[in-house]
Amino acid sequence: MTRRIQKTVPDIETLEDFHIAAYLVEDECGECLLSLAHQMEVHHNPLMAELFERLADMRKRSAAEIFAAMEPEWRKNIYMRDLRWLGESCPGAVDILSAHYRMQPWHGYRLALSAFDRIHDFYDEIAVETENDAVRRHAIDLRARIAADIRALEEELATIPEPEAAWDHDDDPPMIQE
Amino acid sequence: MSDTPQDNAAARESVSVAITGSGGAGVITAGEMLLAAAAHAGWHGIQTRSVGPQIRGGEAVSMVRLATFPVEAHDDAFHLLVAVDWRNFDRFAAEVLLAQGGLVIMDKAAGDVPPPLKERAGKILSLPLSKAAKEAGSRVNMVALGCIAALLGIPESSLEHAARRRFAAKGEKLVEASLAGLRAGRDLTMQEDLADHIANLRLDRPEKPDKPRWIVSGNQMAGLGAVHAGVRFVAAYPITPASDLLEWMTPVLSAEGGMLVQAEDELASINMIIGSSFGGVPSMTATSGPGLALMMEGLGLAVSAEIPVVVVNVQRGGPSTGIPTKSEQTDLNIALCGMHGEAPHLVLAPLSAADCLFTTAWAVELAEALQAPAIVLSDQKIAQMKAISDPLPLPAVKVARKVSEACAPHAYKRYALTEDGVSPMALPGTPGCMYTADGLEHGENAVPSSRAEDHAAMLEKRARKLRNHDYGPAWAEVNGEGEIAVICWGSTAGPVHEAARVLAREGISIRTVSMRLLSPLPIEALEETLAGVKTLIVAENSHSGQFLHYLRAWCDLPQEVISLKHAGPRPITAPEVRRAVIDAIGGGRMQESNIALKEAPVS
Amino acid sequence: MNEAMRKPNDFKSGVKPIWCPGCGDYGVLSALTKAFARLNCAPEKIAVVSGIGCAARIPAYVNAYGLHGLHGRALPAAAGLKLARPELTVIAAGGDGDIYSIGGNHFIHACRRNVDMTLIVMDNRIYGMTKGQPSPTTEPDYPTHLYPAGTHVQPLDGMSLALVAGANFVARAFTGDPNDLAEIIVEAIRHPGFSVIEVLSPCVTFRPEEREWKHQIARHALTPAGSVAEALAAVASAPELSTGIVWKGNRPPYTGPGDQAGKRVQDVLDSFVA
Repeated sequence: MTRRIQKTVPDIETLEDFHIAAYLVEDECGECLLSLAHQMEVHHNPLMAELFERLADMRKRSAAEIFAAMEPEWRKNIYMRDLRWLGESCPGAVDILSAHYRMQPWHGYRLALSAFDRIHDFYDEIAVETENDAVRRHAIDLRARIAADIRALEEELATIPEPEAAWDHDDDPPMIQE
Repeated sequence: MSDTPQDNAAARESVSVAITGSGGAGVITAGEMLLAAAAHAGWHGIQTRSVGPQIRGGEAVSMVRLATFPVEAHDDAFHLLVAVDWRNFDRFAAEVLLAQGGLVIMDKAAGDVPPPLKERAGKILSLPLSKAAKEAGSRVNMVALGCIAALLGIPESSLEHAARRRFAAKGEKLVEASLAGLRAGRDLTMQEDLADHIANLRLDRPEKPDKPRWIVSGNQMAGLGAVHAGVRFVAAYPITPASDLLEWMTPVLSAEGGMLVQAEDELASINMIIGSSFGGVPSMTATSGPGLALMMEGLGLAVSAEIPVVVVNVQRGGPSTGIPTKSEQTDLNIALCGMHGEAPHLVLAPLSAADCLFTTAWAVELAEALQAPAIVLSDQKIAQMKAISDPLPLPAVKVARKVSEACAPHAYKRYALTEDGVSPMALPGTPGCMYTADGLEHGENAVPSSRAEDHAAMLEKRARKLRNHDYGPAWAEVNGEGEIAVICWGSTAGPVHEAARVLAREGISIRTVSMRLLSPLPIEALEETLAGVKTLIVAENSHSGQFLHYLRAWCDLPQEVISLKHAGPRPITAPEVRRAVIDAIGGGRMQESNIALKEAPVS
Repeated sequence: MNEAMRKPNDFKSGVKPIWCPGCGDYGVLSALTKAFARLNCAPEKIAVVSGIGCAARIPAYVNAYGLHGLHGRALPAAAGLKLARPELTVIAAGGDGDIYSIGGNHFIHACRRNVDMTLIVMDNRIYGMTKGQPSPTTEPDYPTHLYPAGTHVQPLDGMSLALVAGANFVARAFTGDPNDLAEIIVEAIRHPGFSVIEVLSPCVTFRPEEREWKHQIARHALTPAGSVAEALAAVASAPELSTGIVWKGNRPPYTGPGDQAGKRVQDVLDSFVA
């Protein structure tokens, strides 16, 4: 898998900056995966709903730990900052435009992994480039955690067969609503 | 009275005058000033107009009826017709029927008298109205008004008062000029030997000459009723004959802290007021038939989402563009049944120009209390009529929407199935109650639902809240006793009430039922009111008899039902109603006749 | 945790969307909730008003007051609400068919009226809820079941129309970048007057090729212009799938007709005396 490395965050200088950014990245990923879980639930794909919920939980737990490690004062600033990321979307964002109601675990893992990879790159970039020792230590810790998550997912993915060619086939036409 | 309207002694307590002219002659102004002067002197009366299609300079007729008693409708004929000219007079011929033997005064330069008038007129008098106006430095309408005032016996002081009121803002010079014209008209008239006619035209003294009188139009009263009842947001698109209602409201609303927004079309009007009322502000629009048709989808949304709105629909001749400047009672069907799906809502109708005040205020009260749309069916006749009225008290309406207090998250049910069907409405800004109002069918929690149980429950809830409400006695004006009853709705009440008064003097007692609340139809109250009635005359200004069919669909009517109906723009008149009653007494046979068309063919 | 801080999740209603998995509208919902958190609005002070269509389902998914009204009529309903309750933050939302076709007249007049509210047009260039008929933004040669050989009708340029009609803030965004969209929404809400955000929001069911938009977006190719004429030129010359804010005007927002020199009810009664 190719990793596109680019400067994603404009100014992470302090530990507060880093915690907030890391929280937003992890939370974004968790929320996207949770949204996918809900989409799958509504569209009667329980296998994928369950998988996405489990994947969401990985990132949500990570986000919760980062949140817990924050100084209380920092927390109220989380959503007060510019949400925009340089280059493209938030490193934690999952490409939900790739979702499909008949998607299978093989797709789900790959979708999650591409986001996990970007989160890894985000921590990696900070660990390499920051001049703040405390930020570097935290970035290295979180890089290790996401790397472990990636390894775990890659191992699981290796056991899953690729879907058949017509995996997205549906005999019925789309339904007319309003 | 007889079949052919006669100029007779009855004219002394009620006299009807028409003034016609074209090209900017100012006959509408003359008619309004005549009414104002009569009101100042203590008489009652009404003034209406009929105009050609031109924006400026068109042919016009101003029709004035003055009386010693309150009147809400025109008589069936005019005792005096004053013509500045005869251009396109045939356009009004059916509306301005000269009484047999009536007096015609015309300008010397006006040309030939139209033949039907020539036959009916008792006297045709050519006077140099224009010339006298020129000599007096005034205008021909003032000279004509001076003639009329002299014949009717309007005190000069009242005439001067009316002139000053009318022209003061334009300067003393204009006031003086108009007074000179009025004097010239009086002098012209006094030179003639009109003793016989004056005897017939001169009004009896008013009963209470010192009592102050109002001059009101239905449109003004509807606006007043709405603002008084608490309407603070109006969105509307210009349309005849509702536009002057909007124009009256704009400054009053701004002074009351509200606003009137001119929308880009009627679709926007109705949806804007749905938005503002969703926000908690009592809201209204005004329109006429074509606009009402465009609003139907919005009204359905207001039913489904349970958002109170009031639509004052000033009826005009239809279908399509129809006759925009003239009246008809033919939007009943669309007002009752125009929405798709089953959509219970309120339909009300004011009984007179003055009653627009109460009925519109009541509509606001009901809409707000029941969280449902209310359509008020006014019509061009009463909306643009100028009527003399006793000063009107502001109606004692209690406008109160049942709203929700703040509540715990996810506890609020916007469409809770309450016993009376009305659910507390959370207004934006109320913490904890966030919900989405929806035109999609929904459950109690407002979440869209296509479940049969939810649909049945919501249909029943929305019907129940209207069905179980106590509307009190205002649903109709019920007067008199007798085995013959006349039932009508809205503005036909005026001629029906007058016919009953005339019949009573002739020793015939009838019951009159003038309906103000048309939907939900108060079936029980109506059937109770009609108990003991053997013959029911259903009077309405409709070619097809929409009201009769509506009553037949829902009520057990007396065995004999007579339909008194014809299309606009000619209104149902008191003599027509009286004739129908006399025929019913003599006939006693079930019939459906177009009495008035037989009597006075339009073409 | 500080009570005053609001999270994007605080603005989700808990109702699970019925949009197809992969639909661009999920990104708009995400961006909208982020923007509300960023602005720290109280949910009860927000109203989301919509018409009919896939995109117009959004109010029910937002924890705020919502009005899911008639096809095409979101803008007048939103304007009525904002004029009557100026303290509310009002968002109107809909799709390209809802806003540009059946609601086209309201769109023009909302731009010129300039009531202080924000419109989000989720443009997928197709009617999704009625099964893939061409919309006003569908390309002339795009085949649909209704017109297998295309419509041969020129697509409507909503951005230019908004500029010409007088919208006070005009931007385009891509739903695949909800954070960028959220920032544009924040700016649009803060900017006085009527703000229009056209959001490129793929329909993965009827136009699966729109998934590729994520590789074709010219991010921030549009930047605030110095005049409406320059903004029009920028929209015309920029790549088709450009995003960014192209216009921030300074027209005062419409708050109603103001003082019309009228009298209050009690004082106007004298005018009826003959």
